[in-house]
Parts: sequence; structure tokens; C-alpha cells
Amino acid sequence: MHPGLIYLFGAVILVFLKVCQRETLDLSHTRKQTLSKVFIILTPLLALFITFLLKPQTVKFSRLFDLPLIFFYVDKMNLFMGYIFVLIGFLIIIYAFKIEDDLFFVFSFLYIGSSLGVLFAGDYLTFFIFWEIMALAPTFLIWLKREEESLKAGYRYLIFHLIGGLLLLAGIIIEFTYRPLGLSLGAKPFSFGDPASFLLITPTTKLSFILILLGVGVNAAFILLHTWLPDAYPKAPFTASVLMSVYTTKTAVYALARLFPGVNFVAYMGALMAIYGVTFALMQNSMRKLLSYHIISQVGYMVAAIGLGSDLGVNAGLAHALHHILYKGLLFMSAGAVIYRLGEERLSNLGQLAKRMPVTTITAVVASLSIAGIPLFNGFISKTIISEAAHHNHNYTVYLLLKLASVGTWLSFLKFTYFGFLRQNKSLNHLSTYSQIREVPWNMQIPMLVVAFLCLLTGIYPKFVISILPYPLEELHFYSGHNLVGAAQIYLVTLLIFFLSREYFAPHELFTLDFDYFYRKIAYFSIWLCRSLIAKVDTAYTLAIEKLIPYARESWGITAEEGRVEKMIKNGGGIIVETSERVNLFDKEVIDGAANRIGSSIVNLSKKLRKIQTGYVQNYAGAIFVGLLVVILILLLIW
Amino acid sequence: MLPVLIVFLPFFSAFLVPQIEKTKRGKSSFFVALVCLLCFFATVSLYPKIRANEVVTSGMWNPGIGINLYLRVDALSFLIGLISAFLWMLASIYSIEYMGRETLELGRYNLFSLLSLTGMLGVAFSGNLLTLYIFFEFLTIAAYVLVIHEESLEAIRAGTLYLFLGIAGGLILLLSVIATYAITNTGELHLIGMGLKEHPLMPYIFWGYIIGFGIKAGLFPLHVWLPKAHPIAPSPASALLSGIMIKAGGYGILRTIYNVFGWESFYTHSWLLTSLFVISLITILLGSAVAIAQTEIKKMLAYSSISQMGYIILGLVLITPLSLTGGIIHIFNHAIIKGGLFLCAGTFIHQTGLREIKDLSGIGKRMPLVTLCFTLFAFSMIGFPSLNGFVSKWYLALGTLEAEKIGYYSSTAGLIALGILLLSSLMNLIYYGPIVYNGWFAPITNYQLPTTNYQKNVDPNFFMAIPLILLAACTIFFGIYPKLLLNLTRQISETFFR
Repeated sequence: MHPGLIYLFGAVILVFLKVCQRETLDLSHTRKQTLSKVFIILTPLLALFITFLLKPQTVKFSRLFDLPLIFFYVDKMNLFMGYIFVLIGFLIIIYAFKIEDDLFFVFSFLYIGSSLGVLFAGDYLTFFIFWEIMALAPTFLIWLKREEESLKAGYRYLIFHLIGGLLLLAGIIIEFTYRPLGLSLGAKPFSFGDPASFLLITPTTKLSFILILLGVGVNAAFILLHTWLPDAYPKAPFTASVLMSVYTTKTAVYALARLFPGVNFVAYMGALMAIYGVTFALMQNSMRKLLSYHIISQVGYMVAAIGLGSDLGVNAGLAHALHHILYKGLLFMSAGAVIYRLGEERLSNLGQLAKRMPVTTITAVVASLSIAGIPLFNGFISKTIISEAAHHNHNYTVYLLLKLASVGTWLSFLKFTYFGFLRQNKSLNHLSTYSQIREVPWNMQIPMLVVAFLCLLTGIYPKFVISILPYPLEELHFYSGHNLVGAAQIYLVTLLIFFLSREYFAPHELFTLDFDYFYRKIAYFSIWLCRSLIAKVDTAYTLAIEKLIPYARESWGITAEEGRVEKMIKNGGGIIVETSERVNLFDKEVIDGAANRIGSSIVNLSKKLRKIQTGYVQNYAGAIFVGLLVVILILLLIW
Repeated sequence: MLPVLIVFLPFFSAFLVPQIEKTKRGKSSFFVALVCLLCFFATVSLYPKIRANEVVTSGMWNPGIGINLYLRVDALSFLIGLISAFLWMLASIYSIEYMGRETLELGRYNLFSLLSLTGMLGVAFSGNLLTLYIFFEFLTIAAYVLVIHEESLEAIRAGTLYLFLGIAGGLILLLSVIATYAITNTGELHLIGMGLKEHPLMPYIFWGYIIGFGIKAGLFPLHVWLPKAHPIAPSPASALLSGIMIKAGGYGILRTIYNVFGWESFYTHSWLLTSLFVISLITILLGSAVAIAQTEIKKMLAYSSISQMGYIILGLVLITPLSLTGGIIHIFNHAIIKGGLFLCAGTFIHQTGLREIKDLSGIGKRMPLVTLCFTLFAFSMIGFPSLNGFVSKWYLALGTLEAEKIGYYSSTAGLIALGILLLSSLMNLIYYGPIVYNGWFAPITNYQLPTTNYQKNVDPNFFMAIPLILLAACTIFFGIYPKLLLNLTRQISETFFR
């Protein structure tokens, strides 16, 4: 069974429950409410169990699109990502459980389900179908904040991802056409050849290679294609940012690992992302904006590792993806907890939370230590593997850039934890509300603590993750003297620098100009072009054609009876009634009798129809959608 | 015999409408819905024969001028007839409620709606060019009354433009039809290539057909009437005009390229196809670009129709099995989607009186069901996978790259077409996106509403809701399971690409 399908069906059933809920009386309302609440917990739990029961080398075909699609393909690589996806999905659902309404869960199920669909897709078309749903679902999550700013940010997010999707689609179509076994004109125009040849493999033609790389690159936030990320994530509801920090970029990392391992461009792009992200992150004041730029930076590590190629590089990238999902999810959860209680996420207005919100502070510190790569925390492990992979491939440029980025990471998370949580902020003491701040409810605390525990566990026992990596990893001694001393040097020096010059790092509002400035200019220009040029020309052209008509009429001699045609047809209905009366085409008795009989039976019919009509449109909608679901299920079983 | 019954059932029932309207005022809508329902089921009953690759011919009539008129249903005709009858059925169920309020001239609307159905089914089921021409003209005239139904000055103006262009196009079409009969002595639509290949007049005859059908289809330089006439008609009629009747033009162009000339006959005149190819690309871009600038929802939908007709024509002129499949499937899918969108827009107008896009913000709170349907149709139009719009986009896109294998187009042309196809998809998002997100998530801004309680749920009742829900269900069903449709289109493309 496909775990993604469980989520997708869960979303459909949840919609159905919601539709039913609207029409029920108050008494049963609460029962339905609990039903959907139980359902919200059960769906991710079921997907979790099913994923842990999956065995590699499962292949399932589907003929839904009339093509032999490999709808479900499991091997060690996507199973590795699948484990962490369902685990963190379950935890985030619990985290959001009490805060969000059903609609949030519908879209998050769609989102998680479609990203699992991307993971387990065995061919390009299935991959693309889920990829597009994965672009749409988080857009709705952003829109759920219902504020002007987030509506527009979601719209930009969707446009960006649609562009990515279209690039991907173009690449896929070129792939389908020019692959030797692709579509052939001739005896069997729709034959796609041997289905086994459509397993995801590296694109063959140069153009499709570039297009697919760019399409995936939008989701992986390649520099120049990254602006959607720091734009949209801080404007989403904070629960949605937790979800989004996990899935979109990481499925892209998985896709890169599948399709483009060992591509030099990818390696250097990764290193650039790591540096670029960290540089912009250091300048941010808003918590989630800082974290968003750090997603770019950390995804840069993974992208670089995959670009380095070899089994070691891909392993390193995927291991870092798993660790990053844990600690970045945790960071967003902690930031979310602060936003939930304080309604504030500007670092300049935060501080001294350690007493008020101890659990949140501890988890934030654990996550910050993990992302910075401090020994005993999981970031250290995967960063060591990545360095090893860079060494192994003799790519010292990437190696040095990544080291530099990790210094920046450490600095910006010193800033994050110190200014956001630990420091004394005198200006806060005066606020009356400040003394009323409490720790977040248990349903948020538990997932945070579990993830913090996992960060430590995977840091102290790296075997845990290494044993499920897709490729065998030779013995690495993470806690060797050499590694530890190297880390200690860098981190201690940076720590010293930070505390000596922390005034310099103090957060303040800073307007940072990213590339989206240019993109918005381009967008405004194109819309101006449509509005003020093309549409105006079209209107003028229409008017010109319209102007011709009176002349044409004049030359045909109709002018004298201007409007007669219109008048005649205006009264057309009446004319036909009259003619049918006057001409007596049929026996008047027969016609009238028939008409009367038809008329009265139609009146009866309409009376009967009105009885069926309960007035609850939702009931019809529900009935039809359930019917549709049944039909699709039957078809699924048949094919 | 069945095709004749299907085509003429609405024609003769139409003359009962005034009588019913006379005896039971306002009840003729039920009668129309019943007739359309019968038509639809009669058309469906042809399915087994069509799947068995049989051709149903009937109604041979020789008026004594040396030319036969008859109906002939093959897979392609069946598909067009099926979607026409289906959408007509839904639109007439919808009009029971929608037109109910406008009792003014209800009989006239119903009468001409049935006559237009006859015209449309006749176009689809025609066996030869002359029959096709007669029904085509009949459709043009009958639909004129639907366009001017509101009788406002603007409607009359739009109707006049429509009528003059339609009749001019019809005359040009007639010239081509006559020329075809004169040169080849035949006009049978089951032939593939009637023998015009060698004739010196071939390009002129070709353009005659393209102009005649292209005016109906809303091709680029001839599209002016469409964005005026479609939005001004009552919403169910707009749905039919935009969903079905422009397809009569698309269908005619298909028959022109594949039957009258035969796709192999363009090797000596490949510029004919190339120029039509360029026109279709311009149509795609122009329709989308102007739609972005629109402020009124029905106008926007009409311009979007122009762009979508460009898709269909593009699929036809690329001359590959895959693009032909894409084109035909898009005829079907666009009918469902655009029909649904116009019905949604009509529901907004009927229930709240709001026509402007900016007033529609917050509509999702008041009409959740209709907004949900609108959202589905909009995303289907953009081409999100698992909705039916994607299926057509996929096959059209595959076809653009296949085109070079036939030899009419270079691979660069294919890539440009692919690029424009995908760009138009993006433009669709740009103009549908704000309606969707403002509709669901923005606060209600318009307080000048006819209903006193503006937060009330004003979802429409049974007759208006059922067609919308069915169309939305079709959008999902044919998106996830397009096999039913693909079987038919494969059958069609196999007849042309043997």
C-alpha cells in the first residue's frame, strides 16, 4: 500500500466529513467533530506504520493515465526519505492538532501525501503529477492565513512553482519524445514501449537535462530561483511553515539525488547556496525569515554533496537531509511556539524566554546546536560525511566554501538563540503581558521534545541513520580526535568573536534586497503590457470592425429599415406563436391537446422534483463525490 | 434512423414550446430539459456501435438537385454530438432556475435553445459538406437570438456584429463548399482527401473554409465578435456558446484539414498549415493576454475561450496522432471546463448580482459549493494534473515535439509551440489565481448587496447546483481516468493516420 495514497484519501474523507458537518444539528455536531479529530490523528499514524512495513523492490503499475505508469516504486533511497517524511509528518500533525482547523489538515494531508507520491514515483509522469499537487497544497496553506500579504505571497509562490513545474513538464515531454523507446508514430501510436525503461534515470538529451534540472532547481531553491522561499515561508501560518520547511525542498533534494548525482554544476550551486543563504540569514531580524534563509543554506550542503557524486556524496546529502528535517523542523516548531504565545517574531523584540518557556528554549538550543554542527548533535555527523565526500572527490573549493558557511551558521544561530531566547531584554520587563507568558500546550511540547531527542540520538548513535542509508558507508570515525579538535577550534573562536562583538550582531530591521525585486518589476511590466497595450489594441481593432458594419449595411440597402431585423427577431417568439396559430400546420386540437398534456405532466414532474430537493446542496455534492470515489476505486481495482 | 431522430427531436419539440408557454407559463424549461435529456441518452445509446467501429448512416434525402443530404455518425461525430448533448442537458437543467426569474420572453429563449441544439447536433452528425453547411448556418442564426436575449443596446450591438460576421463567414464557406463540389463532384465526409490536392485553386478553397469556420471558432483576426457576444448572453447560453458552439468551428476545421483535403495533400502547400499554425499560436497568446486585462468575469472567460480555441486548432494543424488526440480531447475537456466556469459565473450573478472580478472577493464564504467548483475548473484550465485540463495539455505538448516527424514543421517550431503552450498555462494562472484566492480567503469587501444578510450562505438550489456538481465530477473523473475518452480519440486518430 502506498503511504501517500493514505494521506490523499485521508484528505478526501476529511473534506467529506467537513461537508457533512455543515448540515448536521448541534447535538451530533460534537460527535462529528471528534470523529474528524480522531481521523486526523489516525491517518498519519496509519501511514507511519505502513511505511515502516515497506520492503524495497516493491513495484506497482497503474494504467490510470492509459500509460503503463510505475505508480509505486520502492528502493532503499526513497524508503530512507519516506521514513523521515512520515515520522515528521505525524509529529507536525500532533503539533498543529489543537491550533488549526480541519481545512488546514486537508491541505497538509494533500501536501504530505503528494510529497510521498513524488518520493515513490517510478516514472516521470507520476513524478510530475504529484510534483504539481505538491506545489498547490502549500499554496493553500499559505493562503489560510487570510491576510492580504500572505494571499499575495501565496500567489507568487504558486506562480514560481508553476513555472518550475512547466520547465519540468517541458523537460519530461522532450524526454518522452526523444528516448529511443519513446512514443513512436506508426502501428501503435500510443505504445510507450517497455515500462521498465521509464524508471527515473538521468535525462538523456541536453535540453531536457537543463529543463528538468531547472524545474527541480526551483523547488531546491537554487540561487536566482530561490526567492519564493524567504518570501512565502514567513508569511504562512506558523504551523504551515513547519510543514513547508520539511517537504518541498527535501523532495527536490531527493530528486537531485535520483537524477543528477555527480553533476559539477550542482556541486558548485550547492556551495553557492550555502554561502548565499547564510549571508542573508545573518542580516535578518524576523525569526522565520532567518530560518528560511538557513533552509537555502542547509539545502546547499545537501545539493553540494549530491553534486560531488559517488555513493559517499549521495549518502552524505541524504543523511544531511534527514538530519536537517529534524533540526529545521524543530527550529520552526520553536519559533512557532514563540509566535503562538507572544504573537511576535522579531528578534529585536524578544529575549529572556528561558524562564517563561523552558521547553521551547531547550529545544531551540538543541536544534541550534544541531544545525551549527556541534559534536554530539546530528548536524555534526552529516557535515562530517559531507566534508569526507569533498575530500574524497578532491573538490577543495566546495570543501572550503562549506566550512565557511558553517562558521556563518554558527554565528547566526548564536544570534538566534541569544537574542531570541536567552538574553536579558530590559524593554520587555515593562510589558504587562510579558509576565503572563506560559509554556505551550502539551500537544506542541511533546513533538518538540521527541524531535529534540531524535536530534541527540542520531548525533550520539550515528549508526542509526547510517544503517538505513541507500549505499553502504565505509567505517567513519566521527568522534576521532582530529574531527573534534577541528570543530572545537572553529566553534570556540567563533563563539569568542560573537560575544566580544555581539553589539554588532544585535538584530535590527534591515531592508535586504533580494532578486525578487527584479522579478516583480518584470511581472509588473508584463501585466502592464497586457493591460495597456495588447488589450487596448484589441479593443480598437474590435471597434474598427464594428464601424465597418453600418457601411456594409448601407451598401446592402438596409439602412432605410434600420433595426427592422433586430425588431423582427426580438419578437421572434411571438411571431412563431402567431404563425403556429394562424397557419394551422397541424390540427389545432391535436397540437393543443398534446401541449396541454405535456404541459401538465411537466408541472407534475416539476412538483415531484421539488420534493426530492431538500435544499441542502452539500448533500447532493457529497452523494456525487462519494459516487465518483466509488467509481474510481472500482476502476482502480479493475485495472 | 436514430441520428435523424436525435437531430430532429429538438427541432420539432421546439414548436411545442410556445404552446406550453401559453398554457402553463414558465414551465417550458422543464420540457426543454426533458428533450435534451432524451437527446443525450439517445446519443449515448450509439456508443456500442461506435466502439465496434461501425458507422451509423441515416436520413438519406435527395432534394432533386443532384446532391444528397444525409447524416452519418462516426467516432468523431459521436464524440462531438455526445459532449454537445451532455452540456446542453446540463445547461437546460440550469436554466430552469436561472431563467425562471427572467420570465420575459422565456419561451423565445427555450425555443431557440432547442433549435440551436438541432443545429449543433446536425453539424456534428452531417454526412457531407452540404448538410454540414446547412446546419452550420442554421446554428449561426438560431444562436443569434440567444445572444440578443437580454435586448439591451449592448446585446443588440454584439448580436449585430455576431450576425454580420457569421453570415459573411457563412457565405465564404459556401463558396468553398460549392467549389469543392464543382471540382471533385463529391463532398462526402468519410473520404480522406477529396482530390483537391492538385487543383490550382486549392489555397483559396482552403482559406475559404478556414475563414468560414474560423469566424465561428474565434481564430485570431476574426475573433472580435466572440468577447462581445458570449458574455452578453444569459449565462447558460454563454456556457453553450463558449463550451459547444465555437467547437462547431473547430470541428469544421478538423474536417477541412483531415477529410476535405487530407493531411497528406499539404506537402505541396505546407505554407497553408504553417500560417494556420502561426495564427493558432497568436490566438493562444492574444486570448490569454487580453483576459489578464479584463475586469468583468464573463468577459475574461470569453477571452480565455479564444485562447483555448487556439489550443484546439494548434492540435489540429500539427498533424500528428498525438496532437490530434490532444485537440479532440481538448474539444471535450474545454466544453466541460468552460461550460462549468460560465455556469459558475452565472450563479454568482444570479445569486448576488456581482459581475466584476474585484467584487467577488470573499464569495467563498457565501457560496462555498460554487466557489469550490469554480476553483476546480480554474485549476483544470491551468492544467494541474489529476484534473482533465492536464490530459489535453499533456497530449498537445507531446504532439508539438512529434510534429517534426511528419515533415511539415521543423523541431524549432515544435519547441516554440511547446513554449507558448506552457506560457499560456502560466498566463491562465495569472488571471484565474486572484479570483480563487480572493474568493476563498479575502474578506468580503462588497457591502452593496441585494440580500440584506450578506454573510448568509447563498448557494444555489438543486437545479443550478446539480449541473455544476456533475461538471466538477467530470473534471475530476476524466482527469484521473481519461481512458474512456482516449479509447475514442485513438479510434478517431487511427482512421486518419492509418
